[in-house]
Amino acid sequence: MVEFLAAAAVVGIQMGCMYAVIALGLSIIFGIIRVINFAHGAILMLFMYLGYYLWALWGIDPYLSILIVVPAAFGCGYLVQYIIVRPLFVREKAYVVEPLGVLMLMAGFDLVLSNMGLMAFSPYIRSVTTGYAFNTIHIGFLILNQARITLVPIVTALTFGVYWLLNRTELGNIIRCVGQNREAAAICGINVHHIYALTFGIGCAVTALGGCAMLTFVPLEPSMGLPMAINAFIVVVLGGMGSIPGMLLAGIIIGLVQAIGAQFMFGTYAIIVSLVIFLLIILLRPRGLMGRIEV
Amino acid sequence: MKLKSMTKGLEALTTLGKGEKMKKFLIPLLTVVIVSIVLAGCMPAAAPPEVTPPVTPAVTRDIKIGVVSALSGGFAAVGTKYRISAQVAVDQINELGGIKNLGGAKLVLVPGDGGAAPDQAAAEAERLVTVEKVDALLTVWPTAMAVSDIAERYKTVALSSLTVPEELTERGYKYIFRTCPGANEEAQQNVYQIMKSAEEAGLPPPRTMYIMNISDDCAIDMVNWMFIHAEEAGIEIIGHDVVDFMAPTFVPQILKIEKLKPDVMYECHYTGDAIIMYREMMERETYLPYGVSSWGGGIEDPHFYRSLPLRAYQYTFAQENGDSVPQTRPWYPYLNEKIRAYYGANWEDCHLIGNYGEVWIIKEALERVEWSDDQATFRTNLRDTISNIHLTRENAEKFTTPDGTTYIPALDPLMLWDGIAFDEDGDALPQYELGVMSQNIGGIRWPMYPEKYRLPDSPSVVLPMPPWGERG
Repeated sequence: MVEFLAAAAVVGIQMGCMYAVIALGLSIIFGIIRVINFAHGAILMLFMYLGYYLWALWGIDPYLSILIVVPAAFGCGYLVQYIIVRPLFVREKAYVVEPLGVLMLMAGFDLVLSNMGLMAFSPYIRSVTTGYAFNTIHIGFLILNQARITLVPIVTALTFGVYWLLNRTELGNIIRCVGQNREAAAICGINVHHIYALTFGIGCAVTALGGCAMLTFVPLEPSMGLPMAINAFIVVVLGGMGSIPGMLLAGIIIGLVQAIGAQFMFGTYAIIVSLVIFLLIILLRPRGLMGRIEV
Repeated sequence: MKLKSMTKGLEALTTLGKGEKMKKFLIPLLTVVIVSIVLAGCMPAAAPPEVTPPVTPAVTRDIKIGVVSALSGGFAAVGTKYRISAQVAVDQINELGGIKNLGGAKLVLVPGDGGAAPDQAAAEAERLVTVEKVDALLTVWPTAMAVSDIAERYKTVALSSLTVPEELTERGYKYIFRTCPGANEEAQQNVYQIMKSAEEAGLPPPRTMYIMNISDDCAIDMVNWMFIHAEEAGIEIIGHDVVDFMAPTFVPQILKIEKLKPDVMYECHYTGDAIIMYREMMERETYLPYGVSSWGGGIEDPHFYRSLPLRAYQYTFAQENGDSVPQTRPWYPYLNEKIRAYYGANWEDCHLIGNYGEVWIIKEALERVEWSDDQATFRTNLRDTISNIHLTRENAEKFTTPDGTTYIPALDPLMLWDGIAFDEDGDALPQYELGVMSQNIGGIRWPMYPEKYRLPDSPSVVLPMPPWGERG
C-alpha cells in the first residue's frame, strides 16, 4: 500500500507540474498585470500545434522547436496586447487597473482562436510520437515516463527564472509597478502600454515553452484549451495573485490531492475534493497560499 | 319475324287480362321493353374500361434531410465524419436520378452544428425543421436526445446512429429511430465476447473485472448495463473508476488496477483519453490475463492507432458500431473515393459511413411513401413508412459500381447483412443484430463476435494475453 501511495504522490507531483507550467504564463499576465486572459488556453493550444507541425512537417524535435515557438509566441503575445487589448485600456483609462471589459474581450478572442484552430487543424486528434516519447525510467518500484518526469526540472527552472526576472531585475520591478497602478507608473515615465505588451509577450512565451515540453505526452485537439485554462486560473488564484512560487506550490497541491485522492475514490470525486480544498483555502485566506495582502 | 311473334304473344297475354284500357297500356309498354332487350343483345360489346396508369406526383421541390452533429467543440472529430457520410450518400442518390417515386426529386443535405451541448443541438434541430423546412433529420451522439425532443414536437422523423442510452427509445416517442445498438445490447456483446473468447481459448471464464469510464451519460449508461450482464455471467466487479474527460494522466487509476489484479478490464474512453490510458498501461506493463474489452469509442478512431505503437493496443477487444475492416469489402474502393473527396484521407473507421446507410434507409422509405403537398402530412407519411419498412436483401435497392461490384447501400456498409426493420419504440428488431466485437491482431481489428461476422481468413482469438515483451 505504501508503494502505491508513494507512486501516486510522484504522479501527483508530475500532474502538479503540468498544471503549473500551464498556469505560469497566466500568473504573469493575470497575476501581475491583472489582464484576465481568457484566451490563455487557446494561445497554448495554438503554439502547441505550431510545435506539432514543426515536428510533423520538418522533423524538428519538440524540445528543439522551443527555439522557434517561444520567440513566435512572444511576438504574437506582444501584438495581441498592443493591438487588441490596448485600445480598451485607452478608452477606459479612468481605471487604474485593467478594465473588466478585457475579460469579455479575451473571452471572445478565445472563441475566435479556438474556432480558427478548428478550421485550420481539423478536429482530429494529433500526437507527437518521437522515438523517446514512450521511454520509461525505473527507480525502485517507481515507473516514470521520461518526458513527463523531464517536465519537473523544466517547470522548476522556469519558475525560478520568472521569479528572478520579476523580483531581481529592473524590468521585473517596472512590470510589477505597472500591475499595481498603471496611472502612477505612467506618471513616473513608464511606457505603460509597451510594458503591458512586453509582459503579455513574456507570458505567452513561457506558456508556449511549457506547451512544447508537453508535446510528447499530451494529445492535441482544438478544444483542449478551455479545460487547461480553467485549471490554470484555479492554480493562479490558489497560489496567490502575483506569487510565482505560490503558483507552483498550488499546482503541486492540486496534483497531489487528485492523484492520492484517486486511490480512495473515483477520479472525478478526487477532482471535486481538490476544488473543495481550493475553495476552503480561498475562503480562509483570500489572498491565496503565498499572495500578499493588498493595501 | 321474331319481333312480330313476340308482339302477337304479348297481345294474346293481355287479352286474357282485365279490360281494354289495361290492354292499351300494357301492350306498348311491354313492346318497348322487349325491343330494348333485343336491341341491347344485338349491340356490339362495349370496350372494357381503361386502366389508368399510376400518376407520379407533381413534386416541385427537393427533399431536404437535416443532419445535426457536432461540427465544433470536443466531439467535432466524430460529428464531422457523420456529416461527410451523409453527404456521400446524398450525392450518390442524386447521381442516380433522385427519388423515382417522387418524380426524380433530389435530396438536399442541410447540416446543423449541434456542438456538444443539448441546448445548441435542440436549437439547431428546431432551425432545420422550422426555417429550413427539412423533411427528415439525422442525429448522432452526443446530442441525439435533444434532437429527438424536437423531432417529436414537430413530428419530423429522426434517425439516430451512435447513440447508446436506452432512454432514447424508451420515452414513447414515435418519431425517433435508432440504427445502432443501445447500451444494453452493447454491454451484452462485450460480456458475450469476454466469455466466448475465454471458452474458445480453452480458458476458464474470467472471475473478476475492473471498470473504468469517463463521466458522460453514454458511458454511465453502458457501465450500468455492464454491471448487470457481467454479474449475470458470474463476473465480479472488483473495482470501478469514473474519470474526468481530458484528464492529464490515468496512472492513479492504473495503480488501483495493479493493486487489485482483475482478470479483465472494461473501459469507456474517447480518443484523447484512450491514447493516454493505453500508453500508460503499456509503459507500466500492466498485465490483465483476459485483456481489455472496450466499448469502442476512442479506439474506433484511426488517430488513436497513429498515436501509439502496436504493442500498446494489440489484442484489445472493442465493440464496434460499424465495420472494423471496411478495406476488405468489395464496395470499399468506390465508397472510399467518394469519402476521400470530402475527408481528405482514406476511410478507416465506421464513423465515416455512419449516416450513409441511414440516408439510404430514408431513400428506401421515400420510394415507398405517399406524397403530399402539405409538408406536415408528408412528414407523418414518411415516419409511418419508416416505421413499417422491412428492408431485406430481396427488396432493398441494389447499386452496381463502375467496376461491376453490386451491393445494397442501405444494408451492406452498416453490416446489416440480414436486413432492417424497427419495433414500435424505434429500435431495430432483435433479429437484426447491430454492432460487432473485434480483436486487434497484428494491427487489424478482426471481427470476432457474433461469429457470423468473421472473415474467411480471420485468425483465432488470442488469449490469454501474451506478455508485454511479445506484443509487437
